[in-house]
Amino acid sequence: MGFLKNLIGSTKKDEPADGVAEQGLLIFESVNDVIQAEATLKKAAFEGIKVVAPPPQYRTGCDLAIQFPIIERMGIIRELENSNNAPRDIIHVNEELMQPTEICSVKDFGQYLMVRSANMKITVEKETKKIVNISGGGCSDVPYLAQQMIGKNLFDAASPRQIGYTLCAYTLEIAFNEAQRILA
Amino acid sequence: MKTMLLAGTIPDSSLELICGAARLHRDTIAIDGRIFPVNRGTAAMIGAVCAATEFLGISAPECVIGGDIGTRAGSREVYRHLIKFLPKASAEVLCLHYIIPEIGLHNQVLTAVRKMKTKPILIADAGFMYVAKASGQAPFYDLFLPDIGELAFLADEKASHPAYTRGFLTRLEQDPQELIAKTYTFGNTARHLCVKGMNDYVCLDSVLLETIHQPVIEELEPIGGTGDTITGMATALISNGMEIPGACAAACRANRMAGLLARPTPATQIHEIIAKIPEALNMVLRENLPGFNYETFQGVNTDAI
Repeated sequence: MGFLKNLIGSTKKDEPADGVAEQGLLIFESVNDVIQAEATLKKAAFEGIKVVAPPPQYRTGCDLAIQFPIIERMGIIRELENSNNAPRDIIHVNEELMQPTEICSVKDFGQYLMVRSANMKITVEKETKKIVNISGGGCSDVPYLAQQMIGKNLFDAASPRQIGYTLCAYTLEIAFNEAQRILA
Repeated sequence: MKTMLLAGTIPDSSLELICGAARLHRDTIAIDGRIFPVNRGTAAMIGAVCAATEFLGISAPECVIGGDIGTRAGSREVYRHLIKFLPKASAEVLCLHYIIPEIGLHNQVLTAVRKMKTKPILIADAGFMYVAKASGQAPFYDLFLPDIGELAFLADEKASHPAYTRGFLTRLEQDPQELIAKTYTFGNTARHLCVKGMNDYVCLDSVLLETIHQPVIEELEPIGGTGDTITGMATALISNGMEIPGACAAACRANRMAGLLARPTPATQIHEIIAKIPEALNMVLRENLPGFNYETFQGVNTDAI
């Protein structure tokens, strides 16, 4: 529980006068840890969980953090410890943090459908649902994800969230989910 | 000819750092006795460099490659190798590619570059371009090669990664000149910028020098690696003595021509495009392209040049 020493402002009231819950930020070692933690917390039905960019002092250039209502901190930490994925740090935040884009665009090539989210694109053959291409991105797991996913059925392939490690994987997951939604 | 060094990663977690000259053989590249498929990312970039150097008749590129599937291990090996060896290296063109962003290590690489006898022409794409921008040291570079989504990231003064870029999908793709202007205004780009997309843009010091829009081959967009091949060809042409803007414009044209020659579908893989690079470069560098009739050639959608 050494990381709790970094919980700034823990003696403050959790609910300010304007009714907006104060926010904390969970900092992890890797984007993959964040992806797993987000899934754990959403499965456990915690509300107000958002993935965001960490503040500048925690940035390496490819990172995510989890913003949460600070009033939930004990339950959230317990849940993450039980899943062996405790955060490296917990900090108090009172600034607006950027969230990854969740907007997708779709391009129809007739036989094929391409879905793009931010810098990542996935292309699927409509009739067979086979993933035929993955493009964009700049992190090292993009070629790995392409290697693992191309040629697989969109509904059988391991998702980027399961096998990826970086923000590019996180972004590809959004396009992957949208392609599944469209072609279901 | 300027000596070149290419640095990046290949998705093989068992691969320890390797260094050596690269050779292209059909759909694979060989470096230091190891053979890798040319699928996308750094392997595609190196494949394009090799195809171009063979065509140009110049030496094969030297490479520094880490094995990385996203865990950062191979990327860190590449950073550390560059930090250690660049001060004594003689590379005149340095292309930095798929490497997971780590601002601290990136800054140490730039310190190593500053210790070199002569500053090389610094080219960054993919993850290394992301970290170059996120570090605030983009103007130290000579060339960035973003696609349209990455251009929006460079133009966003707050975004630390393209995943955080705000609002570019809806309106800016049609007119990226606003984004190009912002990247220079905020100091978030190298001196030269080559934007890869439906139209390709070559810029120097915020001035748009050239727009390449022919031939239009929409099927290239979904194919993984089509941006990497532009980076590879531009690097080879710069190494062969071409000025950066001319090299970028020729690489963009050749990439489109290679696509045209490959007759792609959205399911085409990048090695099929790379195989056409020598022929495409020959057309772009040695033939009178403005007189070329793209429409007759393959019936693709074209606008007037």
